[in-house]
Amino acid sequence: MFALTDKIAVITGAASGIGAATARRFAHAGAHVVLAAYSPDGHDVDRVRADVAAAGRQAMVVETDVGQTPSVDALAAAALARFGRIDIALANAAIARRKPSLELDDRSWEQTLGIDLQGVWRLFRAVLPAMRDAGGGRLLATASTAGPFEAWEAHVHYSAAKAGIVGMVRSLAAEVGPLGITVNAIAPGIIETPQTLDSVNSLGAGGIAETGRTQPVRRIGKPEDIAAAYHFLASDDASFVTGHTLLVDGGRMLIRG
Amino acid sequence: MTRLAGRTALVTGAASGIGRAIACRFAAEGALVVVADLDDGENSARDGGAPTARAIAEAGGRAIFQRTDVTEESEVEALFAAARQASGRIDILVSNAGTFRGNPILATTPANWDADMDLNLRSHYLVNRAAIAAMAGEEARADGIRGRIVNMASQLGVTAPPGHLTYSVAKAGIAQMTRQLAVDYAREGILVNAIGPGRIITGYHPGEAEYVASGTIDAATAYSLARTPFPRLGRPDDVAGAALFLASDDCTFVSGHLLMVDGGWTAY
Ligand SMILES: NC(=O)c1ccc[n+]([C@@H]2O[C@H](COP(=O)([O-])OP(=O)(O)OC[C@H]3O[C@@H](n4cnc5c(N)ncnc54)[C@H](O)[C@@H]3O)[C@@H](O)[C@H]2O)c1
Repeated sequence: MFALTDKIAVITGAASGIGAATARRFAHAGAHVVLAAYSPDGHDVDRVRADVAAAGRQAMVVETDVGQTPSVDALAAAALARFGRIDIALANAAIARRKPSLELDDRSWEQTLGIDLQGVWRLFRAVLPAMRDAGGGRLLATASTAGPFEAWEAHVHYSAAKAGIVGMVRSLAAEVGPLGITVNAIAPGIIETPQTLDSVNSLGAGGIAETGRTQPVRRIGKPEDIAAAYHFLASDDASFVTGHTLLVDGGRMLIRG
Repeated sequence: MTRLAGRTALVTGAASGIGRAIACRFAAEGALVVVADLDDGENSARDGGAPTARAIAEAGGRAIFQRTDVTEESEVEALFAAARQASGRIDILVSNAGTFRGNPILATTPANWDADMDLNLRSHYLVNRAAIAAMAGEEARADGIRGRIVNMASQLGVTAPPGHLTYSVAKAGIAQMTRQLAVDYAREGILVNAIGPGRIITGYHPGEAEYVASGTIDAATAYSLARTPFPRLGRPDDVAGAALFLASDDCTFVSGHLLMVDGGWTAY
């Protein structure tokens, strides 16, 4: 079954980019969506909330800092208080901060790892008891090609976090598989989102346009490309897929172009 | 359930097991399915190409059966000619036909190496070549895609199954052919992906429920069950769900990927 009728999904980083597109997609597939948003970033989560509601599904916005354990625990508690269960948890929130390695101090390292890697773990840990009690669930995380599959200069901390997600997903899949819980990641390639459009910390508009020309499919990705793949991984059609990192990169890792 | 409405899908090895589950699922999603298999099923009510097509029709779907030996170039050509005649256009290929067989190297001969490669690797090349020739000549759909190909590799092309040289080499070859074709035809809008099934109960195996109920589970299956993190072995429908994603309009930016459907075996 592909529909997500009446499933409860929690998504971090839901106010923009891949998280927002996935929230919309899940709602259209029938899920109610808990939108975890970090307001200091200034994204308009109300538009995502409105789109989920327009699809006839319930949306709930929870202000969340995935860098803080109490904040993520409160997110899970709020979702459970409202809906009684969590079927799908997508740990998607992350930051990318350009930092040449000779300047990469503890503060920068801890900030990026704390959000991009430990933030994933905080969400998984917070929802695992409810999934265990329910006899199953779907844990999903947004990794990256940068780290597990390719280099990204001046992003050693980000790369380490994203490679860490791939390892976490494998080991957790083995451990919680017997509980009927699957754990998977998507490694997106170059996707046009606020993160990649940031010309200080990432490629910027010009950079992604240029990258698009060299990719096998001759375009860069859209958040909707990733959302469609998350829909598959969240659905019953992916029941026997676990511990896997699905590359959604338009074939870019095949040529490393 | 119309995710493949208006599409034509060619599925090889669709007489039984994984291929049959894919054919039935695709038809339920609205595709016209061209069922290809060596086994016509004349003598069987259940397995066989003709029974698969009949089962699809009885469920309200559309299918034709073309008896095909995928190791014979002329039969592959005839298959694509029949598909073109039935539908005018081939949108999806699932290259699935194959058989689990292999030996340790000292038990192989050059002749059985060739025979195994003919079946488990060269046949996929023949079918992919015919599909790409057909797809590349079509108009792109609105999303820029001309066709989607799903090749059946295996977990056993990633791990090395003890004593099954030709099978693992052929399955690894399918995965690499998939990557190569993905790069070579991305510009034409042909997405080429592979699935790596783990231990899927098919064909000569009873279902895992029967195994457990009867207590007669064989040692290899017991080991597979114990070794798979997910609390059950795979079913043909699990592979069909993954194949549907890769064959559908939802697969827009995935190409050259080997999607493991193995209950976490290779992650473990
Ligand atoms: N069952 C598993 O655990 C498993 C795991 C990994 C990969 N696979 C792969 O999945 C595919 C399907 O296998 P299955 O498990 O469904 O087994 P199966 O035996 O039920 O299906 C194989 C089909 O291929 C057909 N076939 C064989 N030789 C042919 C030829 N020369 N021309 C046309 N058709 C031919 C057979 O008639 C049969 O219908 C194979 O490629 C297999 O290697 C299976």
